[in-house]
Amino acid sequence: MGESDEAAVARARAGDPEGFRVLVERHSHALFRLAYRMTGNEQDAEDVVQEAFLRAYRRLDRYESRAGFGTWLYRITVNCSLDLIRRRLLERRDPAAGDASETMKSIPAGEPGPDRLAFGVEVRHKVALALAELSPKERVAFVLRHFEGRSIDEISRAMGGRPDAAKNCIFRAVQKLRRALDPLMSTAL
Amino acid sequence: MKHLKDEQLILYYYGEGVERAGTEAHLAACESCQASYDRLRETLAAIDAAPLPARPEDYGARVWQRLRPRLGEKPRFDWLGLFQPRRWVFGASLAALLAGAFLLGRFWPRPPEPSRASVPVSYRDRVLVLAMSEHLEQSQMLLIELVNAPAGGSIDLTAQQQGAEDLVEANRLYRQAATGAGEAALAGLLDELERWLLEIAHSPSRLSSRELEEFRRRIDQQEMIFKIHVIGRQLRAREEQVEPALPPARA
Repeated sequence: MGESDEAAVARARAGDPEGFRVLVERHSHALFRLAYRMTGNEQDAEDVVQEAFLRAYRRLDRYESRAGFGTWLYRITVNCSLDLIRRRLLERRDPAAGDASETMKSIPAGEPGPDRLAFGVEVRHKVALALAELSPKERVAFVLRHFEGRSIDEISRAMGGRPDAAKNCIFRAVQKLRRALDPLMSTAL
Repeated sequence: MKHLKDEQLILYYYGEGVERAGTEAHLAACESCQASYDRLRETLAAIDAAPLPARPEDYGARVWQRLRPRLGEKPRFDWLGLFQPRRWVFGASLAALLAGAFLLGRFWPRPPEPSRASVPVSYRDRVLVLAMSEHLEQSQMLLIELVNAPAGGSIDLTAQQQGAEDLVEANRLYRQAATGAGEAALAGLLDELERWLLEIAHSPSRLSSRELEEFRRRIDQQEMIFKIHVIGRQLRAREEQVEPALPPARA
């Protein structure tokens, strides 16, 4: 059995970078998955993962073990993703930068192989576009609830707000996604 | 029969909500709500089809390889660091650009210079005014979250502290720029805001209800949120007055 997160944190705090390596190797996949779903862009997600680990390393002395290292890292990743989404929104308002949702529109819909129906490809593409249209907070709340299975209490803590606010973000996100995807769903019936 | 609301169906789908048994019984008895719920389930299931790029097995090791050299950059807040030339160059450039933006706003309107050289200046200033209003908006959100934190028991402020820490350095540069540009009201607000950000960043990560109440009282007393809101609106108005210029040509 591998070293626990707490033991690795203790080593890293004591100045041994190998302790932090254990944590990076263990949590990178989960962080990338979360960051990608937050940002909708592969390169942005890579940047968020790097930034989140860097912030975590710099703030290791503030980590309190009762929260669990994974949860703490999650919260940092959510904040890094939100910062990046806000920067992208700023760029979107900047006429030079073009529309940030272009990054979502450029997501390859996937090569339709023999096992993949055209309808499925269209749905996946439409889903990516619909997710890109959510506000940063709606996106964070929805991703944490739908993809990561976090409870509303956990989401509100990660977002630094109240449970009611997190719940409303999820409602609004689902309503927007339904408006975007329902026409496709009825086509499929 | 009173039908279920969308919100109830969403909570039920995600296993949240307190009236699960009641919702289940209603769905069993009501065809209309069951049909709504089936559509919701179908849509949310389709969302799982959103593409997720795969990472290689050794992804963690690759992240570590890129991260390892950067760990040496671990910054500790030391006053000597403020005197590093690189920081001065960055700060001075930002201050100069912001000063330009304020001066531009102050003397507006005037006919635009037709020369090519004026285009990137206007574009750059606009972006900086935008960045500052975004900064004020984020700071306002932070204070609103703090003021609205749920009462009762001790409150975890870790997220707000991290947010405040991220905003402090940018705030310092904006304040210097505003002072340099003779924008006394803005500089004063940023000075006040900086003290709040530092206090939040350095406060204990858990506050008792009484301490949080004291925070709220002081924020209200100083009308911080209102002041940030007003100055933020003024900046937005100024941003709209600055001519939307073409970006510099890309090579």
